Amino acid sequence: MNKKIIEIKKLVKYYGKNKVLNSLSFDVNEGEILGLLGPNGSGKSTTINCLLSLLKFNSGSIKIFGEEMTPESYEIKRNIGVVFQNVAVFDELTVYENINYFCGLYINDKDLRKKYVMEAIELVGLNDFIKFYPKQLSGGLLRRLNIACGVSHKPKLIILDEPTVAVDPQSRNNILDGIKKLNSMGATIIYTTHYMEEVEQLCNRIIIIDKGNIIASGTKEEIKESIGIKEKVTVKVDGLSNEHIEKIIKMKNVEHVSYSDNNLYVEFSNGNHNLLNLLDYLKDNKYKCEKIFSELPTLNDVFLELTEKELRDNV
Amino acid sequence: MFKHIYINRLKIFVKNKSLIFWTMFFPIILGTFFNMAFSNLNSTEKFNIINIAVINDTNLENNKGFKDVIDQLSKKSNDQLFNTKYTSIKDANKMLEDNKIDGYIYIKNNDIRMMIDSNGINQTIIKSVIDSYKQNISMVTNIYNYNPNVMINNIMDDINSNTDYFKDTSNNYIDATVIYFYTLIGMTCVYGGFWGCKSINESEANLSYHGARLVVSPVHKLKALIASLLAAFTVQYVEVIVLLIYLMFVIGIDFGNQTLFIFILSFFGCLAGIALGSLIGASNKKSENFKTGLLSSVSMFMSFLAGMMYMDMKMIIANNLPILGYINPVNLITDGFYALYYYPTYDRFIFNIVLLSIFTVVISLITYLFLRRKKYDSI
Repeated sequence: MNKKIIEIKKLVKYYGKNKVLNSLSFDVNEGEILGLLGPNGSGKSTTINCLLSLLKFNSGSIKIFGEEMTPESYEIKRNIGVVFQNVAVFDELTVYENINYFCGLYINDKDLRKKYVMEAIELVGLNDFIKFYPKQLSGGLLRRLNIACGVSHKPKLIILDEPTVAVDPQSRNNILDGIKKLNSMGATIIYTTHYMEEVEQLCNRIIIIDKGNIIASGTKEEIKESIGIKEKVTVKVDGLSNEHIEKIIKMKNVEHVSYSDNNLYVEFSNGNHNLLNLLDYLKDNKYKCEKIFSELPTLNDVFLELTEKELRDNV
Repeated sequence: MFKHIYINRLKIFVKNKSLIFWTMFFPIILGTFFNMAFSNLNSTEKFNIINIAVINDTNLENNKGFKDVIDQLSKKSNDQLFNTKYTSIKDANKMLEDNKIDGYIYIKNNDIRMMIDSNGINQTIIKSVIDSYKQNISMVTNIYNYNPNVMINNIMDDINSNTDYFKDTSNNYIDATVIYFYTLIGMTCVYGGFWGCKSINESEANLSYHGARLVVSPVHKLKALIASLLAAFTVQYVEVIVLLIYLMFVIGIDFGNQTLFIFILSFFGCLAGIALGSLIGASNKKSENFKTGLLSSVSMFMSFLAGMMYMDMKMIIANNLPILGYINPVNLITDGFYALYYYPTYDRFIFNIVLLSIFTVVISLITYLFLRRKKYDSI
């Protein structure tokens, strides 16, 4: 059984009369990347801020590394790295100095700190910008610096609150690669975002929050299976006979087939290798396939199914 | 950790070009303009003997001690302070109206009082002589009540023979325009509030993400804040010293021969300024720009009340609403310099230092009340 790094039980938080966290409970296991997914205002950041003991909450309990989290839990804090969604670096310090300053809040030893700072710079790919000031960096590079400042002290638990908002694709890939690397080095990661493709790419486990409630949780496959959304395949194939269409209908996992204008439309129930099996069948029967489209269900489909809202909606 | 934060905060402050301009170069530029404006004025005058009148009536006859003091101060010598005429109240009023005297002194209900029709250095000196005499008499009375066996006559003789009320020990000339430069230094000290405000903003999780980053780290918030405020103080104190050096050696302002006390006063002034800025930073969740604007307005208003734009304002406040002068750090700093320049004793200087310290402590305590929370309602 995996060791629990975080245990949140029945967390309730009100802003005035507005209940923003509704008895939220979940655990985070050692070594996993947990994606907290939800639209703006769903309660993701509030959960993180309660977790970090920044925000008061009305009831519930939070344990990190097996101990209750309080503002004075300095030993727990020493092992946590946080990257907030807004960039928080000092314009007056260079890239190196910024990382060194924030790393210095955790690491006293100068030599060790220097090593860690250089490794953080390497991790986020800012080697060529060490002496640059934040104002000289592009938005993407600034985000990378923001991340380096939050993780340079090699924490066991890293919390990233929407770290890729408004960054270019290159920086996004760099950031996601960096997070994977941190995880491979042993860090447990909580990643909040409303970009479902990032979650699909990164996370071992996902929790979807809406209006302070957990509406789904599990691996991405488990979540998708739970709502029974189908894989849709479209193949352009000339002169397909009715006999073969009938045979395709009888193939494993096939739920529905139609054929018009030389396009074959097949809907599959959940299962693996559906597209490959279909293409093999057509090839074996000497059909030439020209264009192939496969639509797998996304987490957005899941969210839409569960809430009838788009993930990126402002709710 | 404390050293790490202190050094980095120093670096952050020193590299902040905008605030460095406002807290150091702006006062220097303003000082230069003051100098240009006042250089054409014949503002330097000899320390003249002050013409006064004393109402000669039975009240004065009953207060021989005071009369002796006035006689001593009016004796023809190098230390002569007053040119005194003993006269009736009617003649005294006429002389005052004709500007033949700077004021007159009378005794009513055993209380020594003065009448003036304008504010200025001479009037301040007359008032100070009266205050000083009253203070000494009060002290003697208290001693006598406590222990009647004390050699009261010896003490009285000692008081009455004290002719050193206003012997100018530091300056042969009095330059009235130095008041403007004093308020400028006062304003610069209070500008330390910008650094204090910035320190608070960047240490509180509900005010900035920098603060959030600090609060989630394993550093005690108060420890980090003190390191930051100490860095803020260092920067501001150095800036004030640079300004003083500029005013003394480049512009040539005469601050007397009391350099150590000037530095001490600036020290307490900077502390008060940083405390004020910290309070403005901690007391609300408005933007940093709003707080900067608020602090600018407050410090400018304080400088106005201390006489920066209109020299007599300081006296008007002192006469009509003295409490406002006591809680205005710019005024206290200005008054401290004034006391150093014009007074032979340090009583008034120390009084200002004490008030500045009380101001700093009270403001810091209020700030602490805002900062003591460990978790926030909202971020």
